[in-house]
Amino acid sequence: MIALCRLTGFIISYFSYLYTRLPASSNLKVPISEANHVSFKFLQTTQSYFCTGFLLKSSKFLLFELCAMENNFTRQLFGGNIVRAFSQCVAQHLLLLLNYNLVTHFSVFSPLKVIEEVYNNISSLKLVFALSEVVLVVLIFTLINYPTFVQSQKFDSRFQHYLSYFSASKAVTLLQYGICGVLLGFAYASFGHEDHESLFINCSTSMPSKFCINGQKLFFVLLGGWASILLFFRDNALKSKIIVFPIIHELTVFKIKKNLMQTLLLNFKTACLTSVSFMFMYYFTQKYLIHFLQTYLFLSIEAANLNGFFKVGQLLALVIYCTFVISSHELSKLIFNIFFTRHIKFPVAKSDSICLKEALQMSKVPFLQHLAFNDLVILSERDKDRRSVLFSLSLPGGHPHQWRGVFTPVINTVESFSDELNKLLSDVASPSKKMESKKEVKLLPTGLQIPVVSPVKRNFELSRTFSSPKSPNMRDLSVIYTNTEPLTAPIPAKNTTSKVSIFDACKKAFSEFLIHLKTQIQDPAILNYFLVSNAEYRLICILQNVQLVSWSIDSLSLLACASFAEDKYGIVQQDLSRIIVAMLKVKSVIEKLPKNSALHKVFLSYDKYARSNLKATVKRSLYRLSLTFGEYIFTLSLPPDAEQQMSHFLNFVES
Amino acid sequence: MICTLQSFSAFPVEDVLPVCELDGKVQYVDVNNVQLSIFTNVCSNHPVINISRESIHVARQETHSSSTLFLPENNSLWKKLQVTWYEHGALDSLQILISAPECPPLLRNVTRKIVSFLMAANSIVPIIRKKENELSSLPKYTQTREWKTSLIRALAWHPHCTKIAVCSNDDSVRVFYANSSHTPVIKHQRQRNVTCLAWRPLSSSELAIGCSAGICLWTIDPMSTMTRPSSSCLVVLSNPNHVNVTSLSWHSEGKLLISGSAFDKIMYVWNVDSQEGVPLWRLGGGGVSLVSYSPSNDRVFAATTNIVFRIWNTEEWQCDRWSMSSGHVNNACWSPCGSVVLFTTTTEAAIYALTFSPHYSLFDTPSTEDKKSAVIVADLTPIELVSGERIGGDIIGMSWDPRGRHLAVSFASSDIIAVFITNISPKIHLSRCCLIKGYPSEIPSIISFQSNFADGANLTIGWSSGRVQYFPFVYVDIQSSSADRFANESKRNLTINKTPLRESQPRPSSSNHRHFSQSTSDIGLFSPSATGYEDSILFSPYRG
Repeated sequence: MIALCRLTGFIISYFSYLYTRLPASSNLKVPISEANHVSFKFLQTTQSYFCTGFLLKSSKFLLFELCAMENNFTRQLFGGNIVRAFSQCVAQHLLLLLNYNLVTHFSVFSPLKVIEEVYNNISSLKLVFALSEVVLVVLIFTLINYPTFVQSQKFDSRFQHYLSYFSASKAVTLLQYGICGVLLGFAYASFGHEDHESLFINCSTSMPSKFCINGQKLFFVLLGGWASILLFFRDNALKSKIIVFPIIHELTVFKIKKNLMQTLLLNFKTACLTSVSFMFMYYFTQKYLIHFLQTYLFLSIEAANLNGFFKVGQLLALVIYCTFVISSHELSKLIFNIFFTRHIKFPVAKSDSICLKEALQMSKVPFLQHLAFNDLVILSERDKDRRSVLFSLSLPGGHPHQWRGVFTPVINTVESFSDELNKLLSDVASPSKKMESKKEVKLLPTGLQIPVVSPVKRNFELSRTFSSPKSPNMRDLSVIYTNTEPLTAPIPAKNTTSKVSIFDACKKAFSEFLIHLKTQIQDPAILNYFLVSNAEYRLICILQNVQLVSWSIDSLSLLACASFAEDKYGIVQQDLSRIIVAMLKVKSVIEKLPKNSALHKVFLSYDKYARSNLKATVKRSLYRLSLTFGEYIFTLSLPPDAEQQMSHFLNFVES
Repeated sequence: MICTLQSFSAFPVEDVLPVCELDGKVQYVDVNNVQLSIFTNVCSNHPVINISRESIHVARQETHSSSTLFLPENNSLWKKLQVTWYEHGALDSLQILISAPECPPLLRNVTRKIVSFLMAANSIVPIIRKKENELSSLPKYTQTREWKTSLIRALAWHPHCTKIAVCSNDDSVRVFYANSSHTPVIKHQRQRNVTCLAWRPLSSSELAIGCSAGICLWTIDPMSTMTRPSSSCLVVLSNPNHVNVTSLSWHSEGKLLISGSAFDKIMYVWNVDSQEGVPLWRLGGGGVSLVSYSPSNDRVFAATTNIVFRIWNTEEWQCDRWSMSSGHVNNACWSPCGSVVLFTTTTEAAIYALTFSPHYSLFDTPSTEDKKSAVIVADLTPIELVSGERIGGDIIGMSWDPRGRHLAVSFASSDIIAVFITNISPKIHLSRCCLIKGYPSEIPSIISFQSNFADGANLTIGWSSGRVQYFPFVYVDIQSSSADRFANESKRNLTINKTPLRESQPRPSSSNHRHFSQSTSDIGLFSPSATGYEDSILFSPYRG
């Protein structure tokens, strides 16, 4: 593998060397001037080392990740998915490149010339070089995308959350995004207008050196980088990373085909904004860039003339270029998602590879756990053969091991979700009460401690204590009366020193500021704000399992209904009451979450439809159970309130 | 042997109407005293539905348009173009430019060229939507007879409880409950040109309405006493090109909803909870006019406005492409087990059957060739009954009882509904059951079987007068198969029937029925040559 990487690196560096020697708009090889020779060498060496090094490092990293995985099945599955996604990504990127070539060279008046141009581009060295760039880009995309499927991020305080933005891994990811953008920029720019083919061009006569950096190409390359960095911020700061499973399982080819055109169209708007923002930025920072290149890298640059971009055609070309760069990013993300969310059939019984019950418990590898739950739903709905294994008894012994193995992690997922959410809601509701009681204890004089009574009674008693006419509905203002500080405003001290130097005044102000800052930092409220577990982040942690909970509920109800006809030994029916109670708990806790509250907003920001989705799943499952079991449900030992709720479902009056 | 309309016997006398079938015998009553309750009380709790023209705000007909009351105003060409662009779009404004006398000849010629180019381009890739064209051709793709003028445009039974939604001509939907006079009326500005309704399974409150805006998904709380649910109960699922939805079908577990529009080549699979739709399309065929999920959820029937129809496999969402010589499929019904689909086309008066999983007897050896053709199971060539009434011809509506025992068919040019007895096992075959007609001036607009009818099958007919009739087929022994029922027919006395006014001709005897089964097994279900309808078997599958 390492040898292969080295070989690839060598090939890339060789082609990059050849490519940088090709001047723009000319088939002749023009010798590089002595003045720029050092810079050229430096760039080539850097590029080749970078390519080889990056390939080596990333390959090693991926291999390490693969080897670190717990079992062989996971390794094979993960490795297989990566290889498939990688090859599909390369193919799709090349397709996009060719499409870009076609779009940029398209002419209504000479359509045949377009074909000639495209053929020339495909048959030239440019394609080989672009291929090497695309391979690198896809490799980086692999590194960017795989953590979504194998790592789960959980933080429950603001400090942890903010810290995550400044972690080393985020910095590396930002760098990866930037590199991807620049490389994509190189690839697309060379397939675009002929002026953007080479990074180096013959200088105009006013320049001291003979060869300069092509400002136009640099502009496009930097735009690629800028677009990627913006995408990084959008993906990592504004969105939560969720493994999104498709609504229906289509064939991979159709999914990619369908999304290709859609992605291009959807990203056009983003590309417009990105291009315009970059143009402004480039306009103001151009001189610093030229200065940097000339001073530190001894390179001359032919600055890009931005006036050209105010023409409609040029601007459109720029936006199209940006659309393709952004689409490449999005498409690779999509392809990885498609391959990592494909349906996998896990064996129900113990086998050489990982079995269903083991996969259901693999919370350390989120994508595998999600796949297992997804498979469980499909099994419960369609696969009668595998269901029969679940409903079987062990031989010898006659124990329902298969059912227990699957049921326990699934029901635990549901129950822990409702318990955690319940606890969170009660914690959110209680602090105000706690604070209130604390305040009372602190501020009321000794001997007037109020016993725990109802608010109305307490107010009444207070009114008696202070011997003042007070309505029981009046707000408790005792705090003000018991405060030791004077109620009147302090009289300002007379200014005795008439002349104070400015220095002293500043010194005093600074020291006061320091004291203030110190007290602010020492204030437990501020520390608590950052360090103590926060309800909103706790909710996000809980919501990371919402998809699993939804699948669990669906599969449990489907299995229970299937057991009505298929479970010969009544294994499932023993757990039916527990299933119903767990579902009703989820339903009540979801309904308890008040609308317009901060938590509800977090729910919506995490996944706009997660709440409605989960609610619909629970109701559907309960209706399914009530339809299948009918009046038999009341023969189960259900709590009275659960029975009452189930009667609503039986009568089809639960909306 | 194929079932034909010849086998149906005429109505016993002229002034009688059939009201129900009790254990194989059709009960008739006098036309002046139509009461179902004198025979059976199985529908006594069902809501009485009669949509009168006065109760709804029917839109004025084009002939009575208010535009005739005003004198035309002489506007400038520029103003005319502006108004036409705003009201009818770019293409119509170009047409105005061509027809305007004040337009310079050069500009007129150039515009004419542009319009012809656009029309040619539009025929290849539809870039311009002609709203008027869509609305005028909408009735062709509905299962309602005279959809534009009919008082009842659509109706749908709730799959699990006795609750029916009826859409009237003013596009308002009324929900009728059993044992309740409370009738919520669902109406919204965006809910125009309603073509289909579908209740969500495993939910008591969600109703999907296919209309011009796309899909209006209403949540109607059964415990609420509100007569007009507010807009907050509405979610509109739409897509810019997916408007004028003509067909809706729910996954039997209520997870997914499929929608098709006759004017959109793409059909959508919606996860309604997340309001997310997955587009599905393949090359070939026109807009998807009809979609139907199989009850077993493993297949979806999708008919296009063209000669092509597809059967989608829902495991990988791959499809088999089928094509006909002419017309398009206008009706499709799945058997309860999802192994047989019956469909009709616009050009042939026949019912075709496609069978998917093997339902062969032990001695049959189905070849692969057999599976590659659809078979005619009923020939509905128009005939004249002894009483002088015509029956048959182009089929407009078809509904299959959820138990798979009765199939009702309504015709485009006949006021009589034909009901067949269906038998799926061992092979699909149809035999005559009865004919149903309404009052002399009534024509059947729409037919549908109740989904949760415990006592047999309940055919619900929406008549052109706005009356909704329940026609129950009551089985004494609900578990027994129809063949067994008919075998014991002569031995059994009706227990539910109290005072039958008149009785119909007895149903084919058990011996006849068995003979029918044997004869069909001799034919070979998928063999076109053996059926004697070589020319009619025009379907060929193609894996898309």
